[in-house]
Amino acid sequence: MIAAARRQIRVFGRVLALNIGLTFVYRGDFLLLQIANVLSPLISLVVWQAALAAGAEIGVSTGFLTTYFLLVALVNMLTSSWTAWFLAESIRNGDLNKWLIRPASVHLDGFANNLGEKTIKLLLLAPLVVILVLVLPGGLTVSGTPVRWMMFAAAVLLAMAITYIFDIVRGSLAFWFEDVQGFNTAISIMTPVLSGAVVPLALMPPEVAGITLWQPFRFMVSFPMEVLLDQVPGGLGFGFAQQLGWLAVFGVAAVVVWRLGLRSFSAVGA
Amino acid sequence: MSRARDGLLAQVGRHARIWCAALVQALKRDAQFRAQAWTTAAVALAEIATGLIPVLLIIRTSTGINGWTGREIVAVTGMFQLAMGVVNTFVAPNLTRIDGYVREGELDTILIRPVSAQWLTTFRWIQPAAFTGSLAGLVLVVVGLWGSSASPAGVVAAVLVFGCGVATITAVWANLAYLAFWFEAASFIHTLVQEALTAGRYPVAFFPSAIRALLIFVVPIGAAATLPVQFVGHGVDPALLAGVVGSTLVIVLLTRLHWRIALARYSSASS
Repeated sequence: MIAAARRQIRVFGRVLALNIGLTFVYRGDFLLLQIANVLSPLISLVVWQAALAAGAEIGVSTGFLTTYFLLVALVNMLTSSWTAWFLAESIRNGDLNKWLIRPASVHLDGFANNLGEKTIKLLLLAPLVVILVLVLPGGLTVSGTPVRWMMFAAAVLLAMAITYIFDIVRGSLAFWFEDVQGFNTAISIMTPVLSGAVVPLALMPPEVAGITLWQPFRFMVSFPMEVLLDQVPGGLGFGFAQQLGWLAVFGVAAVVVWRLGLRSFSAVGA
Repeated sequence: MSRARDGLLAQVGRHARIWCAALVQALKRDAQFRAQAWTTAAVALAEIATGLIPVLLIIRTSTGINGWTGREIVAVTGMFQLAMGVVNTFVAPNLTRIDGYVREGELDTILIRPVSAQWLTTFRWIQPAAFTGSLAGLVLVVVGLWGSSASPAGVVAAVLVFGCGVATITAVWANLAYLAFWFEAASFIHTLVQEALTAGRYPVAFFPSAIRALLIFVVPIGAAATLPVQFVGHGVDPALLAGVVGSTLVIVLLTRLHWRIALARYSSASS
């Protein structure tokens, strides 16, 4: 049992190193991608500051807005996942076969790919964010106690898990449907708005608060930001409980969908 | 080489005929692969809907921002979608292929054809389904500008400045796509371009003055989105119009020059 676990960890380490190396080959491309990642919140920041300067009545302070838009690119990158696309493709074209006969799970590979790319992306994105924090007037306004940062880190880790597991669920739909990429495209168009990556959910109209505060996408990006900025509606404990609840829901769904799917898998190309 | 001695009119006519054939082919392709065409159209509409949300959120906070009313801001967003629809339909499917042409040597088969290779790499592929984005944008423009007293001169200036804006966006994007001749891998440059262009969703007056000039002349989504609404709603600014027309000509000529220099570097991947 312990030997098996150690072997899995060793395999994971190897695949992770492989993915870090592979990503580093395309460092120029990934740098362009990270510049694009900070550009969008930067545009939002400028636009909302103009609205505030014009006397707009919004429920949050300038400090909140600036900090949110400066750091949201980082959180959004760390909690992102692209596994659904590749998993669905490997089910469709039978590429999954080669993983089913290997002594390690395809999800071990997917997760190593996720962490490996994020390692390189973080190295490229972090300096960009630091430059913006230093250059832009206002800068960061966070209370910055170590406990706060640790809770932020915990929320980010949980958000990473939720996003990744959700991706396994929707990628696995390819076991039953021939073309799930349309569905997945629709999800990825909705996600930035619902997760708070485009606009802080605090700026959404209060009439729809019941929906925005309960839907799962909030816990993928917005919630870690709310924890860091100490602006969690309903309190920290309630927020973390909701996040863990969604993690459990997606976890169960992933296990069920994956097991049922493998049973109906007919291995194209075998 | 006898083709090169054709008159200018004959050449333009020949290229226009080929473009029409490409359009017919694209329409037939969309009619054949209907599910894919519907998906493309649905994605275009969904992107507009989600793109409109931040704009609507900002409008509801205030009656006017930097001299722009809520309805004018909606019209600017509509112009932005109209411009992006045109670019995504007629230009983007081509420019995103250029690095592939260069890397895999497919450019060889384009260079030996009796048409302008630059023209063929910019306008050959058309994605008609993406035009739904433009139609939805047009609806937003009409909703936003309904009831405003537009003068005929304002409308003409708006159409002219919109055309210049779209032409410059094409040229600037093409220049970035030509980086494929100089660097090995730069395919994510398109993501960066598309992200930068989203700034055009808001009136340029929302941005600091240095960025305003950038958005009108360099990443000219402001020229395509803000200026038409400004000319119709607030009157024509002849100096600004002349500046945009002038900078469009300069950028298009520079793009022509860049293509020639880049092509001289191209050493064909297959030989």
